[in-house]
Amino acid sequence: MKAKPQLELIYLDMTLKMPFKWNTGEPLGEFFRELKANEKIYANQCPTCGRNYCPPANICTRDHSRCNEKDKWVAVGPKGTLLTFFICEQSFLIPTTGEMLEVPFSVGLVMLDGAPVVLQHCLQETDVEKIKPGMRVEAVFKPKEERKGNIFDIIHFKTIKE
Amino acid sequence: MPDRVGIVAAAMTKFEAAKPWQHLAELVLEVTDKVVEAAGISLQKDVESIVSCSQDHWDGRTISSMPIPDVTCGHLKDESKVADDGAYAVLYGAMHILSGDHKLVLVVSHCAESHTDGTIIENWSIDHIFTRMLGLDYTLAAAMQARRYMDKYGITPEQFAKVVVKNKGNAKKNPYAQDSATLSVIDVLKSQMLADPITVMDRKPVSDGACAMILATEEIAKKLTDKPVWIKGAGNCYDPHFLGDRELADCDALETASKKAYKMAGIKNPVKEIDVVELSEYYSYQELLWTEGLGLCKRGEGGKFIDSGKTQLNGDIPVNPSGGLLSGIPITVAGMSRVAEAVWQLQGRSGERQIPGAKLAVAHGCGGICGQMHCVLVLGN
Ligand SMILES: [Zn+2]
Repeated sequence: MKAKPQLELIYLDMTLKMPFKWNTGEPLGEFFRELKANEKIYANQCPTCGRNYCPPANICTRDHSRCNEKDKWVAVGPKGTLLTFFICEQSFLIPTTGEMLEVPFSVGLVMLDGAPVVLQHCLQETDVEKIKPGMRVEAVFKPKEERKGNIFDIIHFKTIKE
Repeated sequence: MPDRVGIVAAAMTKFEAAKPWQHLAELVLEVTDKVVEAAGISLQKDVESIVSCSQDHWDGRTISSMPIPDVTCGHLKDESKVADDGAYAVLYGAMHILSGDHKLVLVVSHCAESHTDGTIIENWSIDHIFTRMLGLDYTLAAAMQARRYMDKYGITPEQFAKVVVKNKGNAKKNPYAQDSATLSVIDVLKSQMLADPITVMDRKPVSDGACAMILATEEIAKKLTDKPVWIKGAGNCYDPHFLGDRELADCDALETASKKAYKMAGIKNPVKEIDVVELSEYYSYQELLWTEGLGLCKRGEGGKFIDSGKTQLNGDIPVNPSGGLLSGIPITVAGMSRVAEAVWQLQGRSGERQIPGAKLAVAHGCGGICGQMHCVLVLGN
């Protein structure tokens, strides 16, 4: 339709807010308890096909084998190798806080030491010249009293030299 | 192309006001494992397609079916979602089989109403430009429908209360039910008023849980079980969204849906031929209105029908022997759990709530404000 400059254009403005309290469930809850209490990152492995999961899975997504026995979980990381990454240069609204994002920020896929599993998390480094796939990184945890049992109990992965 | 769809097995979680130890995907995992075991099949090898029912706003994520393939061995398989009511997922699963595309389908639904505030979601479902700001939710809209129904046909709050007394009483015989109680009509009438004539007992409680079933071609269903349940008829129909565009005291959409389903199933006299009915009463008055829409009694006679005692567990045509939605079933799971209850009745697996010799059952799912959309399935063995 053509613009009609002689008419007032009517919009309806509304911000929709929705409270949620999601259950984390069996393995994910235990993963966060370990993160919070012991700075431990856990993964598990399917006994049938050997596929690895981080955070640990109840069942293998490929063959439905149960793999949630805690005694078979393995602690992985905190060091790992960067697989790929992005650097965000343009700010946008953070849906969980309603605030504008501070840029630049970067997120990478980190292949953790100890098992072939990938954890997705923030990187401390945001300079594209200083980030290279294959570089070594390490998880930096929040102090214990600040940890809440969520993914930001790890602040980010920092670059390390070995 | 196959011409009959068989339901091989059904499974449910116990329904509870909250299930704090289970992730949404773990609700699906629980019923998937149960139904696969009951059907005696391999999830990995035999299930060709997964049809799920859930809602994005209840789960708080876009594409609420995203975690379903992880827990149903669904990677590299056919996966699809129905976002209204679980009865529609059964219908859609049946279409998968009738199309000849798949021979065996897993149908699953889940919802954890305890995770969020349902009144907000209900308000968001209402036309966003015009009527949402008036503050409507489903209970307030239901109060308008109940009043209109009372006004047009002289139905009374006492008759609504009888539905609560019956269903919460039936729920005592259902190990999956969340709420059961021995109540009197007075107890219901004296309970906390939400929006006259709807009291807190007239409304379905907040509930968490899941339901699943296995659908198969006739040939496979017969191989897997000696008690296959056949989908003999199906119908669905939508009313307008705006409440002013419908006669709220009648349910034209349900009448249309049930007539279609009965015609397909060859049913001429529903009240004589049908042995058991499981319907979706989100509010007590709806059971009376839906019995009219299902052709079990005439328009405006839902009140007399409950008075007659025919819908009691030991009556001529028991309605909601499971305890219905008033005993606590989450949205989306609602209609699928009606189908599952009907399947168990026809398989003789309903324990203390079993209707002896049940051979023909009707399961009803509905959704939307004041029962905007209805799905009727006729099941038989
Ligand atoms: Zn595996």
